[in-house]
Amino acid sequence: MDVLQVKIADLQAARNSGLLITVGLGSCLGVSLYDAQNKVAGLAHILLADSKPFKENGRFGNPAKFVDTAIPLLMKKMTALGGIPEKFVAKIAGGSQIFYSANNLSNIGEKNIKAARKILDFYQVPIVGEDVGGNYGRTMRLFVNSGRVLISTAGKGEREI
Amino acid sequence: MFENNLDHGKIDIIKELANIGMGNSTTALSAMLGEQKVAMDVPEVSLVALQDVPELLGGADIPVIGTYFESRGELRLVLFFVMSQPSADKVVNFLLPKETKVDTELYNSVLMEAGNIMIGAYLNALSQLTNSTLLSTPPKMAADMAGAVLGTIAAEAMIVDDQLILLKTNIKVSELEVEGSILIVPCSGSLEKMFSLLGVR
Repeated sequence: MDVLQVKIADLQAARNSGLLITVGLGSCLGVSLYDAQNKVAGLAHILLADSKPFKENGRFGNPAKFVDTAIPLLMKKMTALGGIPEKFVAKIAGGSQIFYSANNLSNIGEKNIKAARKILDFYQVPIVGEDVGGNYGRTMRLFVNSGRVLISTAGKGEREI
Repeated sequence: MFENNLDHGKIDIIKELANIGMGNSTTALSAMLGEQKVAMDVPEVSLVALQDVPELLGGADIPVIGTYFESRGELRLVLFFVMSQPSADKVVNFLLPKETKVDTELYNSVLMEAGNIMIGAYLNALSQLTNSTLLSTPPKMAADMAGAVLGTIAAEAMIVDDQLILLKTNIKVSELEVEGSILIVPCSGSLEKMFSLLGVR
């Protein structure tokens, strides 16, 4: 089987067969999109919620880093492979808080989840599965021929969403 | 974008500062471990793609445990002291009196304090060398896959440059069989600031 690795701040799309995998989602969010009719799949490993502050200061760079720019880019890539946006369904995983501290006020993971819900709603892509939040990292696998998404976590085994 | 127009002279200065700073951290670790010998590699300075940072710890799926800090003040740096779980267990056990009952909270505090002392030693050295005031944020700690931990650090510190300058050294305590690495990333603009503090053009 063809395996496509999706690294940090990266996205990949494929058609018909193969496996898309992203390893080690912490506060980062994994967003998978799938068109079951055309068997077109896409997976993104996203770092932060909002590209706007970085567009303003000129440090924007790769659009796969931000929820608001990665999701439309992934949809575009999948459309180029024959996917139809109206058929897309989403599954999301990650957005956890893995750092422990005496006064942990960070909510980057939560912001990523919120932003993804908003952007997917804007593009009218329903979320049909999710495994988000918590305090542990996740690995996400998306099977291109079926749209099945498996989540694995050290010590917690594997589950389908 | 990041400073990727560094000449050899500037890279040598970064290496030398890292050598002195990380040397101080190593000495601090040695003192904590009852003056055991701690070996340190010469620090490497490299330009790394953000996507490839987990490879520096052996791959995104490698389990690691580490303490993370940011310096505030005149220079903004991200500092991360990382070990394998067995190495961290040995450090924590060594630092606590024998027969101590170790729960997660105690384990985490001991490890964060050890990281705090090491990173504090680094920042002290850098403060003196650059005649600047550097303060560290309180420690944060995580035990998870390298990809999850490093991705979260990048997000927390808002390091979103596609290419990063990264300083890394490996340390080793033979007697206790402990191995770890110190990773330091100067945030955008901090290297120029540092050269200007040093009077280097």
